[in-house]
Amino acid sequence: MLITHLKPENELVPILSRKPLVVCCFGCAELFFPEEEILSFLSRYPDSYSGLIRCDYLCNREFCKEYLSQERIHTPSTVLIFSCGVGIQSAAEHLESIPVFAGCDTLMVNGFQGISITENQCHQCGECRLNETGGICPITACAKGLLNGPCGGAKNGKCEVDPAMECGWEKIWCRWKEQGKINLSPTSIAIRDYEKLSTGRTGSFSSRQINAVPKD
Amino acid sequence: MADVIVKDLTKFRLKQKEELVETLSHISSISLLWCEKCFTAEELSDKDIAAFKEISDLSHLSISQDIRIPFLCNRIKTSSLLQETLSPETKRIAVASCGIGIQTISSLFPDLPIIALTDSIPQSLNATSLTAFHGITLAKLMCAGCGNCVLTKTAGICPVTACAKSLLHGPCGGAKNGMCEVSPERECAWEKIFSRLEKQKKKWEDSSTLHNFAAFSFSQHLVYRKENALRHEKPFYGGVHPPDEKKSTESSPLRHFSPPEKVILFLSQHAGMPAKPLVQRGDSVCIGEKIADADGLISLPLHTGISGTVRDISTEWHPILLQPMPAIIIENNGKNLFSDNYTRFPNWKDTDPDILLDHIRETGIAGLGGAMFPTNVKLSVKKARILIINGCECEPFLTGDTRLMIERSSELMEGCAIAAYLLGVKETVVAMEENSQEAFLSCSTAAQNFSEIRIEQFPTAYPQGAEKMLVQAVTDEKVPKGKIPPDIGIVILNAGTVIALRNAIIEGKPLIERTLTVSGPFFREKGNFIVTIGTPLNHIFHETKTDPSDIGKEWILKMGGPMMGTIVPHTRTAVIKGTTGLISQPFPAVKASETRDCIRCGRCVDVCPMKLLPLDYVAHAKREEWKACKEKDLLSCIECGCCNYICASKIDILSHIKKAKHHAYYASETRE
Repeated sequence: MLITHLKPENELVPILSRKPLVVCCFGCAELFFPEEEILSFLSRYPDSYSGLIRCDYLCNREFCKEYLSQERIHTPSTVLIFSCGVGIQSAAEHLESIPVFAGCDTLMVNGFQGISITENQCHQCGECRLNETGGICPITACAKGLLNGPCGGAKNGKCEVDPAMECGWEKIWCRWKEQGKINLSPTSIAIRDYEKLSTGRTGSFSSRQINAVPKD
Repeated sequence: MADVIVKDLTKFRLKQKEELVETLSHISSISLLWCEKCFTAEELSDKDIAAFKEISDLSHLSISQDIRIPFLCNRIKTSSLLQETLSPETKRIAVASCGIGIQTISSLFPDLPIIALTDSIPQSLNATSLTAFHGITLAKLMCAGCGNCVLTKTAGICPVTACAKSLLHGPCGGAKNGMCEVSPERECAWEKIFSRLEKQKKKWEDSSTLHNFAAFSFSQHLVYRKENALRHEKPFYGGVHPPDEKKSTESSPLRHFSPPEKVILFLSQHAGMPAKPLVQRGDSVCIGEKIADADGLISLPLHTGISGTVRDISTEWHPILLQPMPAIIIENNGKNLFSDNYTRFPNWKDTDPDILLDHIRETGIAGLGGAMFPTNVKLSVKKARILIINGCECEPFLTGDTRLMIERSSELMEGCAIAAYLLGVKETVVAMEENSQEAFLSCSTAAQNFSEIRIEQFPTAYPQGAEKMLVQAVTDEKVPKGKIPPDIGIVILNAGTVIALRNAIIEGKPLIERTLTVSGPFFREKGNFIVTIGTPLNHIFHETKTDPSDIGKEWILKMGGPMMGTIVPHTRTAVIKGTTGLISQPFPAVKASETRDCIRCGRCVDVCPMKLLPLDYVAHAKREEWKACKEKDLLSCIECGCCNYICASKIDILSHIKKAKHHAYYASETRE
């Protein structure tokens, strides 16, 4: 479940000179996928691609095999794929000797763990601090990810890094006030344990995950 | 997928025991909220529950409420669920969920202290991005969402996630025998990249671009979030936006087919009891003659649309019930004789409503939107407040009602006035989607003479035309669970039905024809047609110059719209009162299957306009737990097919739901 946007046109046009087969994955269409932009881009270069395949959930290996089966696509010289990074990798894995080109950039959006794209993000830091911070995450709500209080750079409640962003620590402070517990005592100063992100700790988890994916 | 389904793709786990005991020991009572996790089995693991029980015993904690909610992060669903269940005396909420779920709860209840019981588990294996996510399906491939995709250069292997050091400019040189020096279990991504490049006869070109960490700004992020929030709440929760495919027919005016050589009139083409035939083999009939009579209160008579001889009363294959059903077959004698005993009510304003209602029943008018409910029954609702005319043709391909609203808007308004008179309502709303401006203009002009009728447009989304969604969009009221719109004083009529109603009252015409959209890539002639009810499909194929012999081999024929229509495997059937369209579609590359496994991505929950849990019905139906389906309010399902459309695993959710509905409600009723 990822957000993508179209690569700049000057990067895409040289790819079209190879007459690629175009694959558009609209699987996450109800989320954010630049469907209109892609179609209007392609309509500006109508004769420069050899075919267009529309599909969904290209990231699913089983489906990917069907969409890009020999009967459907024969053997194109190159393939241009508009999809998220996972979809492109799945297709590349399946096509192997046929070069694939990525038409989209996938954007960094933390926190699509559940189903909803919500305002909230989760950095999956491995040591949840939300019960100390009134349910507002300092790692994602603060541009600097500070754990020990505001940096002091906020102006009128807005972050100095990006003025569109509210100061996470000011929000936390207000929430504390509402709940009647302003308790930033020195003992609660936390040091982030980055080891919880290390491959040693997550590796076992991830390999479990990978093993759960059905083999061919 | 085999049954290797993912038991442990947990996104969070309980915090360390010592930490929790310390936090909880100062607290006397809490309300406990568990998220029934995504990407894992549908039940919470007993291990977690047992572990927490031990902790709560140790810290002498009393748990005032124990609530379990699937997909806690879905703010809208969670908030409506908690409004019903969470006790108002709650002082503290302890949440076991991923960080997003916890933050959702804390933003819903900003005044209540929140206790996080769990840590989220990081899911990345690379240094650049702390988080990396799978696509919507389970794959070992990962994407860090870095915002500057380099897969083009690296033969489709992502160096950001696959390389432990996330190097973008080539290998570090530390790999041994193809294995990474950071963790000997993982393969060196760059070695893989080079070997694949070699296969593709390409060379690695290091263009020395630097990684742009600012590829996605916070302001952009805000825009996306707002868009998403709008999509979720307006005009109704959930719904999907399938490609509308209306371009090829939306500007084609309504046309008549040449009269068919025979008609097949099914006795059952309305909700309720089938009609009783009034004719026998060999009888001759004229256009508009009643050939079958209503049998019971909710039933309708049937009229013929051609003049000729009754050839037979036998069984034919019914396009909705998908089995042979009794039908009257009439052969055309080509004389086009009209039955002349039509009763007309040009002065309907001075006529008793009961007489008009009887006449509407006699003319056999049923809901033409597809449900085929007798219109006279709908119009006898007492205490109606609002009449809504449904012009939301939300199904892809279909354009028949839109054309009617464009070409016959004055008839439509007259029909609205008649229906409003019969119901005694003061307020009439003609609702349509934003995609048909022409219809909006035409109706607005026609409505100028009628002060009580207003035209409203709603955003295009499927299923905007479903009754309950429409009521919510028009009146902002919600139809309570287990109730239908007439229960709250709202009557909904399809636009085509209103025009048929007008023709029945003013011209005395019985329901013998309807509009039909013929569309889809395999029809050689597409368009909107006025078709005699009972026209055999073969005749339509002949008129549209299309060869029907490839149905079921090369393409699929659907009667109705592509979302809710039924698949017709052959042409040995006919148009009925509820046939809105004939659509030809190619076979999907991957067929929906009943046996694939659910990965609990939750997209179906996200799009279900009734806020149900389609994925749970699938799980229960597979295990034949009909009672559990009942508990989860399966009857509210309107079978719109949004879950089927969106399913990431292409599970045929709808067929599971239909099966479960049958077992949970209808089968048990007959037994008892």
